[in-house]
Amino acid sequence: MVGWPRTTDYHGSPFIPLERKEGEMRVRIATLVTVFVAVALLVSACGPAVTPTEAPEGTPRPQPEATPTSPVPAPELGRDPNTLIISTYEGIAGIDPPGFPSASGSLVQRGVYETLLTATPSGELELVLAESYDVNEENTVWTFHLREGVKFHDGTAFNAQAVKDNYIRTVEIELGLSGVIGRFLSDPENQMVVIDDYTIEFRFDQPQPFFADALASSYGAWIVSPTAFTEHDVEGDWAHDWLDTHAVGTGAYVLEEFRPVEQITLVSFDDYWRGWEGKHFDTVLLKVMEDISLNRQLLEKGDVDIVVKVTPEDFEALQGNPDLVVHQDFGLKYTIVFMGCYGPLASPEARQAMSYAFDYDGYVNGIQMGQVQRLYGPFTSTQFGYDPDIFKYETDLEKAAELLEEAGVEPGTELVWLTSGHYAPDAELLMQAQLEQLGLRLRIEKVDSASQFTTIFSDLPIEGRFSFADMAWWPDYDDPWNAAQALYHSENWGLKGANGSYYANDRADDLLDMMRVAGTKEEIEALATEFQNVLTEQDPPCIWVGEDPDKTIHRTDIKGYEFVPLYTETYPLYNLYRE
Amino acid sequence: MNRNHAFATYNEIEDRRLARLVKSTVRYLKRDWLNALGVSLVLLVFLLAIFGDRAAPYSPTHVDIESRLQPTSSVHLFGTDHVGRDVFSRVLSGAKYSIWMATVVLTVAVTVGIGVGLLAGFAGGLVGELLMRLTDLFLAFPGLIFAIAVAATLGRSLTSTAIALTTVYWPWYARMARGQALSLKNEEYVLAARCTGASLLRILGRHIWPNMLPILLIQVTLDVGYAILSTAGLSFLGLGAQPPQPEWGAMILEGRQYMRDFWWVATFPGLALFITVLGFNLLGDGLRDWLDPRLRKGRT
Amino acid sequence: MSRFLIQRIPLTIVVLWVLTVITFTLSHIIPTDPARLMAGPKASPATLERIRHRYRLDRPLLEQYATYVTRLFQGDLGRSMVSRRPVAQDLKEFFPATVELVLLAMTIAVVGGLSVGVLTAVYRGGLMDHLGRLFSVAGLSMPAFWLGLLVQLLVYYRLGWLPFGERISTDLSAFNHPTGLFTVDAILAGRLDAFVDVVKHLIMPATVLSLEPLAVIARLTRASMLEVMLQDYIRTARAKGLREQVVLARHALKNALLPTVTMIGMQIGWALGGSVLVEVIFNWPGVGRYAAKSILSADHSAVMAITLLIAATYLVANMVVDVLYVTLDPRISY
Repeated sequence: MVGWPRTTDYHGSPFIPLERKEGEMRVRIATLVTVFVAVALLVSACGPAVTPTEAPEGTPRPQPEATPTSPVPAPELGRDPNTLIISTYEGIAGIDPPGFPSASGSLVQRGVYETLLTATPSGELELVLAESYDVNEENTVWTFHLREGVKFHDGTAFNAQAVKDNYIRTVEIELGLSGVIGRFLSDPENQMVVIDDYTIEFRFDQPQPFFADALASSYGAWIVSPTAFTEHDVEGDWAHDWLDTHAVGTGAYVLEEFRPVEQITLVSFDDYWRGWEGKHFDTVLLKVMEDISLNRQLLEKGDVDIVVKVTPEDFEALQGNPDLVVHQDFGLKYTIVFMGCYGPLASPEARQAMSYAFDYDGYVNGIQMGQVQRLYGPFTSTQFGYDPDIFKYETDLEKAAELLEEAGVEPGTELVWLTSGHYAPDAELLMQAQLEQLGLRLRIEKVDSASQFTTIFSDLPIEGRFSFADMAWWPDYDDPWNAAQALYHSENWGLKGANGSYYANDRADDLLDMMRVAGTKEEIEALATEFQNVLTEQDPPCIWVGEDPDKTIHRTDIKGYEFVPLYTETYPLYNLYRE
Repeated sequence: MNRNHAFATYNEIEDRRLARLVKSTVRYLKRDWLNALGVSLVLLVFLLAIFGDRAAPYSPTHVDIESRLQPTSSVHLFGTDHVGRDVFSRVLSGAKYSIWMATVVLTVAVTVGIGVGLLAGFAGGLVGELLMRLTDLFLAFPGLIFAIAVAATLGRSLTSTAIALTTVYWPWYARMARGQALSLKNEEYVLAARCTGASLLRILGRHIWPNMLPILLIQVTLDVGYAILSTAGLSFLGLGAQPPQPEWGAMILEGRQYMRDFWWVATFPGLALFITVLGFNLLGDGLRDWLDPRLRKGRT
Repeated sequence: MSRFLIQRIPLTIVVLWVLTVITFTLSHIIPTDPARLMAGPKASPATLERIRHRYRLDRPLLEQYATYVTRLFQGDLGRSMVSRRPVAQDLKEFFPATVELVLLAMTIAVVGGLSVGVLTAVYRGGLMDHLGRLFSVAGLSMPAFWLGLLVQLLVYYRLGWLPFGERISTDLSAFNHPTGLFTVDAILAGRLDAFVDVVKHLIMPATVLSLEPLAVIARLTRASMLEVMLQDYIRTARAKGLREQVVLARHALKNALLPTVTMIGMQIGWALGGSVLVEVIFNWPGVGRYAAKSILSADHSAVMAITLLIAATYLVANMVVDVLYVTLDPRISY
């Protein structure tokens, strides 16, 4: 370790002992070597070290079909062309569908699980496990006709009962994403009716215009094999522990190896219902590279095929590279800075002042090198319900000073910014400089992302809470209520939800409640417009920073990629091929 | 020698002693340029620690996004970092963190360590054993883990790092002091002093301390270097200095992701670290040669 | 001797026990809520309660500690929150990686250190001596993580000679690893291409890691050699007319090596812990990087397990060396 070793000899004296017996020296050498080797062997002998490719339990290693060879193999590719290598930047917490949401987790889920419907690049819905569906006039009964002949990875047949069992589990497990489907199914046992093996009905008390969208979500809507979660249930946990590290779905790939901080291996599923004709990858390797500054070199050398994220500087530098395709697609992901609605920032005026104080230009054009767009409110410009005439904050230190006075914030007050450097890197340094000009002090608390996360969404008393905390977010599906509910409704403070600001605005609450039960999309849109005004001009709970585009970069020989705003930072693995 | 010398005043004798001391020091430094280098580097760093902030052309925390990631130039000697701060100014201002940390950590560690060690050595018996086992316990604890645990409990800061480092360093001094106490305990002059009824404090002050001093001095000088490296290492892991403190290790952490095209952000703080520690190590070596007649004899 | 053992062994056990108490206490003062971490936001309070109950987090501290220690004796080091696997399994995977790195680093350090030490002692006062000593001092003063970054910049980014880090290229990793030491495994599997690849990955991190022990060994060897060379028996050997090389090799070096060997032992122990920064820089999947990551992600089980592992290894190794020391030199009494 840095600094620990010392030049003193064993007895603590810096001077060298003189006479020693020869035999003793040999014994010493022998001992040291023996001890060291013994420890090393002991550890490695206690069971075999993990081999990178272990045979998956049950599923035999699929034999590759006659994969068509590409007419001209890519020149630099010194590795297996049938393997796709993706580099993602976030370690994965767990891949149980109703569990903890993460982009990288979703990447894996999209390869091994499927839903009834899926979203297309244009936002329309496409059929996957459902062959067709009808909705009655009032929008209260949805009937799905399921695809026949589909199997789960463990051989279980996919049918209506499986769908029902899966969604009962999703709702009753009461984890982070249970609400995605749980919003609609308060009584899953009775609201889902199995008509026959391949027909299932969903019944609601009131019209649910967003139900189909929710079913297409990549968060919480995936269908898991009921055999799997029944078999591996431990003490009534619905097999959550097991399914966090294993996956049994109907998707094109099987999870062969799951090492969430190193690498995840997916292998093609022989009995996939779409079949394997045409060009597809046999194997998909997901490398977890938390240091994204390494991705550029990996791309340039051809060591990876697709990269989810690079630094803004690298993104700039890679634009002109003829071997790579650089995407910049704006979806539903955005970055905000929670403002604590208590302490010095309790009043709306104080938080308006902060919204005027932030150096948007410095962040968007400086740190992010113009690669993100300004965010102006709780919804991105691509979100359904976005109000193009929304009130926009710009940097204006004079206005900020005025409002601070109005709010009664004394000069010299200390504010605290909690960050992990993950979401809005260096924004805190910018803010510190701005606040200095306003006579306020900003203390920066830098912690690891896990601690930051649990601190923001916890019940810690107000005295210890932050004034600012950066965070990235995106909705589970394209619905204003879903996008805003967890973050801004007053019943979702602390442990109950994601309202990190402890925001409580009566009008906002009312609007959200109305959005929840509104019958038509037009109604929801109107409510959303007013909602956005409350959260910007009147009483901002956050500093609206930026819309984060999907910055996928891949080699030119990778084809079949299409960006879908809802599925940001994930890929349609089955559709990809190399040419 | 003429008659005037016989009536030399007290002041003259003192002056000559001082002159001889200075002359021998200079001669010693000139003989081995490495030692001279060590001394100068250490002096330089101490000066920076005191005056660094004033000598810096820009404020080390002044953010200027427009000028981010500029290469070295006449305007910015070491370039700018990712938020436009002048790297040269930050390097200059960073000296004080390293020196201050080393000073605090070593002062406390040495005091505690020597106290415990001497006590263990002289008291002997059960007390001595217990104290040495306690020392062993602290020695066994992996320093890095402890530093991290302290940071996690008390929050990440230089203070936490200081506490952790002190806990890791004091056992070594305890061992050393105990060794000294054990070996000197039975020396004739100590026994003689005890016979004549000298108090423990007097024995410590007049007999033990002067014998221990050379070793102690050398060890401390060398340990300053290690303490500085440890502080920087822990800051590099994110546990020590917090933004926007311009501590050298923290600067290397911030500059790491820009190494490829903007190498100056992380390189210059590292260079400053290297030169500082080098200076202290050279100084320590020089001291060792100077203070230990045995070894000096071996260098013809 | 046996009296010494009777004293030492229980003491070592006590020390280990105290360590478990300390690590356990520290990790429970930390305010991160593991239940929250596992469940994520939007989980209902009921779910969080269930998780807490399942993992016995709602029990009184003393009971949790008792469970912890019991499990330790069964070899269960807990589950890592980050990798979602038993910590023991993580360590089994990462430990050989560190061992391999440290072995190579120490080999370089010993070979290099001894050479530099001997040469500077023999050519004392000359240019070789000055350069050698400057090199040694520089090696001691160099922040390993900074050097690692520079080496990476030069050798990987600019010259492209060696890979930036990790142990092996992704596509070559699919062969059996019976020992966990990739070099050995590659040879056993008959994969020369993989062997070359692994060596290429090892060079940079091992060299950077070796620098400090190399410097220490060089300095110690030099001083030790100088001492020895002044001894009477060396003069005798020379007077007998033996060639200088023989004098050096057979008489001087052998005796000078003893303190160096002691130092090597300590250096190995420290290198195991010191690999943390080097592993982080080169993304080396070893215990050091695991430690850094676990701690920075507030992964308590992993942190506690690593602490105990390192401390235990160090304590045991030290005790063994102490025992032999006492056995062989009757003058020393503890």
